[in-house]
Amino acid sequence: MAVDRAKIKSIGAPQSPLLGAAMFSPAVLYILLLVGGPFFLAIFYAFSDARIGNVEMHFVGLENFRSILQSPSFRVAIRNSFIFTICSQIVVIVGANILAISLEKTFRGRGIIRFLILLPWVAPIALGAIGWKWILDSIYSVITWVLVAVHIYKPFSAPMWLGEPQLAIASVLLVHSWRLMPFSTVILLAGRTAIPKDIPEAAAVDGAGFWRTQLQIVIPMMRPIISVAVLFGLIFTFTDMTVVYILTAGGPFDSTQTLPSLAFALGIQGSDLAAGAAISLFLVPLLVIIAYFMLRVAHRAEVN
Amino acid sequence: MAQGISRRIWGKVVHVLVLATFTILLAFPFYWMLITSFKQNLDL
Amino acid sequence: MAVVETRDLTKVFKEGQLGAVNNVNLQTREGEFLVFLGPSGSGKTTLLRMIAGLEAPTSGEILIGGQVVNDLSPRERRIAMVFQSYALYPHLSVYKNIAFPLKAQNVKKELHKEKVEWAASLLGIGALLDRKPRELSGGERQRVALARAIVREPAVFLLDEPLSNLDAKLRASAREELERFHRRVGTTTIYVTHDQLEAMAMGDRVMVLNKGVVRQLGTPTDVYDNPADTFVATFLGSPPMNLAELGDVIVGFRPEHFRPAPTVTDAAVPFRFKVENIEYLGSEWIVSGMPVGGKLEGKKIFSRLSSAQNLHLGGTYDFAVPQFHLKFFDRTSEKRVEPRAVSWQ
Repeated sequence: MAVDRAKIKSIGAPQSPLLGAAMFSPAVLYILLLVGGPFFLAIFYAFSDARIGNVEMHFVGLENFRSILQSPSFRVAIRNSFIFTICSQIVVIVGANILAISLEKTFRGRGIIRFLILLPWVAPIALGAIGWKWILDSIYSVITWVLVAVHIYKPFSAPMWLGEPQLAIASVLLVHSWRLMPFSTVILLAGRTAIPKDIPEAAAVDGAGFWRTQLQIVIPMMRPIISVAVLFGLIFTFTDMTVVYILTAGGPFDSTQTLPSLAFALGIQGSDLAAGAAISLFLVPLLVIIAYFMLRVAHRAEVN
Repeated sequence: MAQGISRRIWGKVVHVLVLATFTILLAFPFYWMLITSFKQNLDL
Repeated sequence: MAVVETRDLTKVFKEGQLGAVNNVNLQTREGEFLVFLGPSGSGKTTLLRMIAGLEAPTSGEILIGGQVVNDLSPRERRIAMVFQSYALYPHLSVYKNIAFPLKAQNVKKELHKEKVEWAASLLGIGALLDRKPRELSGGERQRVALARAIVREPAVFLLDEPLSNLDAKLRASAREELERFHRRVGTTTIYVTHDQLEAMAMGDRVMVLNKGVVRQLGTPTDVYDNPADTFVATFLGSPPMNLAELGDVIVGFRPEHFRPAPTVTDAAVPFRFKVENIEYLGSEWIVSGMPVGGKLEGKKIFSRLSSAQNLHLGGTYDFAVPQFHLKFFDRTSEKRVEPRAVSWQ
């Protein structure tokens, strides 16, 4: 009896620890080489004076960090990174919730609507950004054209959507929100359909109106899903350089620079690889924090 | 009877408005890009 | 406390098909415990949901307390509902779950504590107020759902198969608690179930439904002893009534009235009965088999006995059914008709 039990147990257990390690190693190798490699290289660069095109490279200690922290455009970049990320997330979560509510029930044409709504997310970032660049362009903007047509502005006196600092910031925010909206909507919609149908019904019978049901029952129940959507959204916005680069290239006067776009501007365009690397490293702390929270949400979901 | 119907109609109107707003906002840039790639410097 | 009434209530989900609920007319009595009984798909839950306001009727009227409520939202109808899954709010504590209806109806916050504690004590869950639903057992959750329903002191209670999620042993005690609860509180209650035992035990009156049509509305005695048609006759009672076609009628008799001949003293119909299966249930025996000879030959008949000591598998015995226990149904309409003479051979 005991022998049989021992035999059965050994069938389930790995044949040997070596086999387990062998199965694991491709994934580990991949992560080490493709993710770890560039990461540690960047750290290395940040402490050097590497430039594009230079063969030699010296160790300069904290010199890069010192000069970055003193530069005003860096401070603007940090500020913007946070503003864009947090503000666009707020807009997206509110908007995506409203959109998810609208898409819950079946209705005629729901399929087409869902397709159209997904476009900002599934299309390449650059494509969407270029599209918006044209819409917001100072001369050819269709928004300007409409506003002039209804006589809110005189011709040629409309604001420059991408040219004035405040408006440029608003425009970048808009495009970030626009791109992320479908992504969050899909996640939130999945979260909503996971709520058993009789809970909102019970709330209705208990006397809750539409808003109370949404705010006090449905949305609190969606907390883990909302967390996932927010955390992903934070990462996508925080690490994005494309939208800024295409829309404003960081201008006007560096007012829309973010950490990634500044790193690109200095490091690649300005050839100062070391400075670019140093700026990029400032992204790491926040991403580590976000990664921690994501693991926590995942762990909680497993436990429940 | 009337009270129930008007409430339902109002709900539907809001629903359609919300959907239309979002769909237009989200899909418009692509439509615009498609259109302008066929036009030259005509209007604007 | 109010009277619930429906007039010609109909609900059609797909056009052209038979409705889920067809022309139902009913009127509850004040304070009664009315059971909607029927198999799945009989429309009993749809009917309940229309009364609650969760489903809009296709035609017909619903009245609560004499007022037509068709256009009122659930909250305006002063009803409370307990769902089959209890639908407790998982992120709120038991206290907050029970307090939610009060909050939703803008009852003053100072009154919440008093009312919640009153409802909780009525159901014996005062000690659970700080827990979350996922920490509770099935029976406890059911009581929280009831507390949440009673705290608003509604005019009507609607219960949708609240016992079906409990295991068998718990079901019996929970059923008894519900009966006591109803006697104590006295609110008009409509209870939906597919379990005929629950319906018989709990209902003041039972409404038997099939395919969206009311087959019979009456007291447990009415539906059991005087079924209106063959559906009601076979739905109530376990094992179901034995039915057989004889001439232009269907004759039925309940298993407990089909007994070994020596025990039957009244005028009875005799049978030669071959036993094919014997089930010992502890408190009783279920014996099934077939008559030998006569028009019912080869038809499976059930018998319910308090003792089957002398019966053996494969044996043939003399059985009988007292005449006055026979029920007669019209062969085409399946409705109950007056007793008449039939030939059994």
